[in-house]
Amino acid sequence: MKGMSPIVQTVTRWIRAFIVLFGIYVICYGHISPGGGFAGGVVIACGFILLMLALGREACERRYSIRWAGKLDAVGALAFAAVALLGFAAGLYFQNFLGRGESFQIRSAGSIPLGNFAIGLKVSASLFLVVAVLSVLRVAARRPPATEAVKPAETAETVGPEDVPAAGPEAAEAAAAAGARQVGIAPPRAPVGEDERLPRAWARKRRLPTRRRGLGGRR
Amino acid sequence: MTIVLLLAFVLGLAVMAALVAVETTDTLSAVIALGALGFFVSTGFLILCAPDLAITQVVVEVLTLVVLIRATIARGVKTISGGGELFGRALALVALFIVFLVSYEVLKQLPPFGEPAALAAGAGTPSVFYLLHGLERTGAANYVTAIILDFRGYDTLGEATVIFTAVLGATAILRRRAHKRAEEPTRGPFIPRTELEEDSP
Amino acid sequence: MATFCYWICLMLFAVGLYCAVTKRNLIKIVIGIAIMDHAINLFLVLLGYRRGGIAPILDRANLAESGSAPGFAERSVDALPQAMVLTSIVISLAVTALLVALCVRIYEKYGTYDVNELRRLRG
Repeated sequence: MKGMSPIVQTVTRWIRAFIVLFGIYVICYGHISPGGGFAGGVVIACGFILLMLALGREACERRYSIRWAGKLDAVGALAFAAVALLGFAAGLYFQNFLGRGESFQIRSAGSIPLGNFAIGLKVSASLFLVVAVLSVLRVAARRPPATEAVKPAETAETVGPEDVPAAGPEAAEAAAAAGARQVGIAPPRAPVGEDERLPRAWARKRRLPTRRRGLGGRR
Repeated sequence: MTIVLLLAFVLGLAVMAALVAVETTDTLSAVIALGALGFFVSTGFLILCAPDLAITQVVVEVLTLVVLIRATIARGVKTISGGGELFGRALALVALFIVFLVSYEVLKQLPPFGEPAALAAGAGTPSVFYLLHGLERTGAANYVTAIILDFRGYDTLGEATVIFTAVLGATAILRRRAHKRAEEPTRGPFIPRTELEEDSP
Repeated sequence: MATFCYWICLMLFAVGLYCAVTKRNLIKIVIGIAIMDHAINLFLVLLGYRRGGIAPILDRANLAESGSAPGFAERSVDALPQAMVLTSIVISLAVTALLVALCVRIYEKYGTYDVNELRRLRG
């Protein structure tokens, strides 16, 4: 996944500190002002996802590995369960075992701030993990390779989201023409519109669904 | 009265954004309309005196947009051609109309908007109990946080489990196993990046 | 008279349900489910609203010297539906991400988002 321009990257690196700081503020003051663990956790996840969108996935992976996101996710969930089980110290499951404290201070309201921290950690790590995992796969080429010698592996590396429409058509012609010469029928047209129907020759060879033959409307 | 009109206006805009998101064929328009719907819902939460929910809804909506764009536009799907055949759509509309007729009777049974039955004076409902004794029992000034982490903490544990399971499922679905990559031409024209480490945590 | 707020919420849910039931594209179905989630969260918070109410958060100014807040419980909106909806919002994000992961996997394997074509596949 490619990153964005240097302006976006620089600004993101500066702004990200403020976003994460705001998220930590929302988590810490969750029992005094609006917010709490969920809102703060999602804000922190937004900060890290912004960095991933701006730098591209590989550069972000060098800084914050995805495996650690998964581990932090599990640690957050276990921490929340630990807060629940520690309530046994006061006699009941999930009992608020620390003292009540005076209101409007951070160190008040018993185990509620601990619960907020655990939930914030868990939600932020989970959401960062799921968006990072969704960003792995890049579409190599929208048209099928003519033979297996076409080296789809290197198209996978060089093609980013902006390059796909540009590299698509000429690769499509070459691949389709070569495929047609192999199979011995007329080369298939490019499909109507852009919703990526598979061309008939390639799909028939692999027994995949071909273009639908004009049933009903398009909407 | 003005609050009700304002709320009705915002909800009307939300319904229009939903209609745009449902019917349009351009992917970008559909996703942006869904984001607009989320913002209108967040404004509705603000009008209904729920600031926690407004904050959470705004940031969650941003992340939903990112996730949806990852699935569609970043993979080159620029148009979504959508609806089924006419008979199915007409049947769905008829069924929805019948549901509306039934729900008219149901909505008549609800208490009028603005006077919740759970907060009627003298009702022994949990809502009244939490509002009366929230501060002295928990020490938290934010009653919503007090409810989700102290009075109803078990529900929050269940919710953490649901999020954990959903993210686990999404990660397991998108997993690639390294030794299976040199396989099957029937996998389609997509070749995953093989030198990336298999990022299953 | 103000019950039409409930009606508009129900219409939002109906739009989402119509989209999830009749559309042919997987992404449209996911969008329909997301619309239904929003409608349900809105409906729950609408049920708890008290006319002329204030948010269920204490301000330092409302606090009396005795440590309690007089008159707060009579003026605040219902805090319990808001607590339940707060978790529901984040759950709906996680479920949308799971559905989108499913869609992405299907797209890689079969090359299409169309439900009718997917139904005709074997294996």
